Amino acid sequence: MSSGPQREGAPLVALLGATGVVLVLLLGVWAATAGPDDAFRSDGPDPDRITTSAPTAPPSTSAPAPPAADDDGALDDSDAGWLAVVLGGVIFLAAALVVLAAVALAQSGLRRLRAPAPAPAPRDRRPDDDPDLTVVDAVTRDADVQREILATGGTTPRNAIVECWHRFEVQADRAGIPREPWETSSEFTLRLLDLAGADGHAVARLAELYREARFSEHEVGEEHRVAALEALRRIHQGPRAAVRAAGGGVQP
Amino acid sequence: MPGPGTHPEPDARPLPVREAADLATRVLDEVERAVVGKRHPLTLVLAAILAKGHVLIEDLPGLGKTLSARSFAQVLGLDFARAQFTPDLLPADLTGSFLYDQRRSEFEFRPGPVFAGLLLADEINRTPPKTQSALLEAMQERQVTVEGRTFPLPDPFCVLATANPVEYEGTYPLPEAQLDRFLLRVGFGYPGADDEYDVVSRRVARRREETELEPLTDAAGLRALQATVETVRIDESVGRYCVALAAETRTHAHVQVGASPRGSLGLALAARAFAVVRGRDYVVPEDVKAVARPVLGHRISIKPELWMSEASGSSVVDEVLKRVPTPATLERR
Repeated sequence: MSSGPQREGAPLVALLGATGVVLVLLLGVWAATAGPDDAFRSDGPDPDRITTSAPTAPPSTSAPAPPAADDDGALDDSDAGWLAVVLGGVIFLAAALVVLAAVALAQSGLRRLRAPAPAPAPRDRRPDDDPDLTVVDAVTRDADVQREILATGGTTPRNAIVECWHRFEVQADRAGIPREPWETSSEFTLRLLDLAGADGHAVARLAELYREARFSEHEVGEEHRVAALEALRRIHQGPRAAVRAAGGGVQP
Repeated sequence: MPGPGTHPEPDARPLPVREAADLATRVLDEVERAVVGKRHPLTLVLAAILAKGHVLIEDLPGLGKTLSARSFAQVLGLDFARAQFTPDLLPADLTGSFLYDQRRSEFEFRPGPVFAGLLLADEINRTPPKTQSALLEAMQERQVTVEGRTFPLPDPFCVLATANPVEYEGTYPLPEAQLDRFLLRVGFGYPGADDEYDVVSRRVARRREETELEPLTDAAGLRALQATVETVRIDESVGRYCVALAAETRTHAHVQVGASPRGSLGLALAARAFAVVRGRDYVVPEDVKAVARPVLGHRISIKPELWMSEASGSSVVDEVLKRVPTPATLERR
């Protein structure tokens, strides 16, 4: 899989490459047309066009010499015409390519401006990191509501446990950590509660109760609700301790 | 071992799931005495055996493919047979054939190595398709037919086939339709430095080549474990998640042919067995994710123009797992 920056630079590289190839081809065409004499060597400047202050020759009595049959050193009219056409073409193509490159760069810049900011990488906590205070705040603020849902909400203990677990996703959303669609509820909530510095054993216990309530056909009764309440109490202890350590309040 | 042509064993009684999980854990611990540091692939292989599936172990030589098959056979108390697949191996060499008994003046069926509880099909890609398909037919039908007579294979019957993924000369790669018959394809990979040293030090300490493993159950015990897997519940949302994963492989840009419905079925079956190993009698989405790569990876054909790229069945499964929504958190009852 190629990365984003590589993809963005690829058209520019291709454009520059194509420009180089076109220039080389044009040079080749010119060299082939002009022939080896003009391409690889030259007789120097046309002696007829050299302006020097030559001493005035004494008047001669002899007849003037006939003009030279062939003048190798000078460009004839057809050579000059070819060269002008080739040079004109090269200049035109170069200008066109510069314009194209400018348009491509402008488009790429606009695309970059319009494109949404890249999604932030999932926030994970290393073992020696402090809890994420935004998450801590969201969890502690909602703790009483969540406990109420588990204690009295839902038509059955099964539904109460599932709704209580779902409440963590509401808290995460308030903390700006939405659940990705491909993430399972357990994967996401375990990550969230790790950021909040919750007790891992209590989280595992509540996760087990949630999975049983959500995916099994087991009888889920009041004893499960009591166990879930105890696990939730221990889960909330960690973030509350973090709030106290932060000075009793957390800036949102 | 029941003789060829005998009736299959009666249905076994399932174990309590805690008991089954405990036995599965002890089996893995014991096998890991011989195959060091490969807990996850070994768990997958055991899950496939518990789901009555067959496993293709694809990896480089010397990484414990044969050892793991032999170890599972020992610990599960199964009859073990090894068939070395070579270019001149014939279907009858596997299935068995009728031989003339001069004393009784009649033909007698002599069963081949396929009549074993656990068959190690070593280097399955070194034999021509005719012999491969004879084995794969036996794997699917769990019976063989020779000279018009059908012989059921023992129950349980499991094939662990090995293949070397880097050698192509003189091999006959399995076609996709036949790969589909393996529930899982797993690779062991190289061990870490500590695990590799552990292999060396254990060998030096025991002063002999082979490791003796203790049988922890037998064929009847394995049938009971397999019956336990059959009691595992799979919620509709999880079943639909399996179907969505398999379907998503069919529309992926890198894929020529995606996983068949046998792929989604394989996901559900393997996830149930994985749940039992984890001590549950219900499947959670994480079980499906854990088995998705080995269940679906080999059922996906990559487009020919991508053969020289890094695209593979496993990379497609990884991407599919990052696309398909998982079951919702809330589902009221």
